Amino acid sequence: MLLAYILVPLLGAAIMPILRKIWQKGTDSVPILVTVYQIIITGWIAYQGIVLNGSLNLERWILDQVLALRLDGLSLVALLAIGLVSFVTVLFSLRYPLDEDRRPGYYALILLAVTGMNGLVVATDLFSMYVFLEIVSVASFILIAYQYDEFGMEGSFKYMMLSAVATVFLLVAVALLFAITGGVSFGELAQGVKTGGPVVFISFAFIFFALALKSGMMPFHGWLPDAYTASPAPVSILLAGIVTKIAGVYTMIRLVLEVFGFNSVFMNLLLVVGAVSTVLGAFFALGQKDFKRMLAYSSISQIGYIMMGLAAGTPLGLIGAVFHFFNHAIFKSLLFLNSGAVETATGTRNFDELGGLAEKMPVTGTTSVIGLLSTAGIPPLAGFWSKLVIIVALWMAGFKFFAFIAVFASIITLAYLLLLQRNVFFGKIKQGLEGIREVSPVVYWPAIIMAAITVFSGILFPLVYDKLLNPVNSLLGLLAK
Amino acid sequence: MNNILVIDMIAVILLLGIGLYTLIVSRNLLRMLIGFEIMAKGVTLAIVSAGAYNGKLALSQTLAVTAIVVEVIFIAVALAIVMLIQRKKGSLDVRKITNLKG
Amino acid sequence: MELHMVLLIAVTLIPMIIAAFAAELIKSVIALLVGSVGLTLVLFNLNAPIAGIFELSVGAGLIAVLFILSVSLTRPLAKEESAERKRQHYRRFYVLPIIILFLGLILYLNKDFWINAFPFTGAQESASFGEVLWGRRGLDLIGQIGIILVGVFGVIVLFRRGKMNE
Repeated sequence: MLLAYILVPLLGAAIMPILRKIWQKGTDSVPILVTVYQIIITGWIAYQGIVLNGSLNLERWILDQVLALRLDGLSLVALLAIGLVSFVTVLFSLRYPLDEDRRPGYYALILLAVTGMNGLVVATDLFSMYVFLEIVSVASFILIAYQYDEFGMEGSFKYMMLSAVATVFLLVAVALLFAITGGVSFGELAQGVKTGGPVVFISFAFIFFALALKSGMMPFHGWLPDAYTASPAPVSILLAGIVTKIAGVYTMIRLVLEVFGFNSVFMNLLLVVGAVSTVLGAFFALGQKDFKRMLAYSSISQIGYIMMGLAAGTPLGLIGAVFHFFNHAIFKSLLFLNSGAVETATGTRNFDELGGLAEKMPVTGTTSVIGLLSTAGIPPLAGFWSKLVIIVALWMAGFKFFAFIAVFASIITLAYLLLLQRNVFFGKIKQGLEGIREVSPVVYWPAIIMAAITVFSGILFPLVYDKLLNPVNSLLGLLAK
Repeated sequence: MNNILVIDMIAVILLLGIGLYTLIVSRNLLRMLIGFEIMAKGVTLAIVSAGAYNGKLALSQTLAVTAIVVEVIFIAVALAIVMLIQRKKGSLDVRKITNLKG
Repeated sequence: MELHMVLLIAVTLIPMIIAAFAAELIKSVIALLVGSVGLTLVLFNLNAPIAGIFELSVGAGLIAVLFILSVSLTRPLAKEESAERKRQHYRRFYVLPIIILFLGLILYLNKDFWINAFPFTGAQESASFGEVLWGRRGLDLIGQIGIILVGVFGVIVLFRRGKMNE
């Protein structure tokens, strides 16, 4: 059952070369089928667990000793986000001008990235997690460099080198923990690290460093704007929407919950790093002239929020972090979808050359307003609730100063996003853009879907909180040692 | 067994040091990859010596084999991208390929 | 046993330093190959023959072939430029052997602290390599299939148009 999450996309990728020979059209439909399958099956598990059984308890489906896989509230949220974001990515790719000859290979790589993310989410041991993390990363390098332009190559190489350093440190930490605990599964590690000592501390520090690099937290963010800006539009939706969040943020949440525990030294460090990313990311975004680059810095800032929520170390903070994780996947992919739509329609992303697109592209303009209001945290959209929960959690955990920082950063967020909206969509139309038309429905429907999810999960927040997010809470009960 | 483990771990730290230094200081893309390769050797040594120390040698060997496979694929893809950069720019110098500003 | 290990590790480390230090890439690659062979000997000495053989064939052999292929595909530099390049290179790297020597010495002198830092677990395991690989690490095998597919598709995607263009 859970194995299907890994095997279905893997199989979909493996049959691409055969499909290309015998049924050219099928190469378009297979990735759509696979991602829709993932959304439906995840929704069905959630429905079964929540509506029929009251609430989703921590479930373990372990196929004897061979494949230890597990699904709980946290991984359910992550799997749903993966399904949604990869679905809109594939939809957007249908009309995106990619080289026809290499299109099947492109879809195969997207499906393999989905395989890697799913495997990472359901895995129960640190080493398997590393293997799947590496699948995601290597697939992303290739996708970033897909268009053979200089920027793509450069962004890809930067990401590659920093990611290489991150994985080396992660693996050395795995080896050190393996030496003293005698195993690599979460259970064995959690047992073994209780003793503490310098070796455990060093391996925690290495893992922390590796994941901070992978998620693009502020001192280590150098690769992130380049990789996002340089990649083709659909790839940047996938990267910004889900890949870096799964590779950096989900792994961090999972390892803190399962292995580290809320170690005070690292939680305080995480809080500071998160706050720095939140504020500086927002300030850097304010100075950008490029649509995607601004969104990339905004991503860094939002990741800071998630990390702060996690670092609060309370159930409420965890709920806020997980909900913001989901919301961020939705609204950031929505904004990147719009940047892709603007880029395909006008051929540029520079603010100086854009303006007044709202009347020519009504759907893109409207959905991007929803996306940015959700990012900035305006009620009743989903982004407001998750930020509110994080701020309240920080306040209640006694980190009042950091709660103020979170509020302050959200004001800057609103400022730069309004700047973006004014430069691109509002105002008088710029010269040379009079002939622009709305992009094709295949491109704007994904944006409408994402905007609808943002609106509904905001309005129905009490329901979402009760049914989907409280189960995440049960993880904390597991941790009470 | 403790002595051997600690000596191996010192070797691992030194390998990581050499690799990281090469990665940071070098200006040639291929040499940066050689730096990564040196670090990857350190990782293999770390995993196997951990297994030799705690008696789970079979497990550690499977982990090391998987890590080596992943490393080879990584290097193959990285070399492909470096070749493309070289074809595009006619140079392997890292200073000549940086257009994007962090 | 301990001295044996130190010698073998020296056989691994010295070529690695040369790999970083050599100005010509092809020499670096060959030094890396020698270092990998040294690592293989270390692994054999740790009673890990399968990892050793894998390191020798894949980690040393295949990677060296890939690197030599790439180095031979890159354009060689002009004479005077390469002399200048070499000088710059040595200027950047001459501190590396010193740093490594000092770091190694400091760590070696403090090794008693680290010996106590590793609690001894010492559980002997009877399962063989094959049993562990097929019996317990099935997920890693799926992961390996995945990453190999990524590599195959990656090389296809990255080089297909390259051929058509030229």
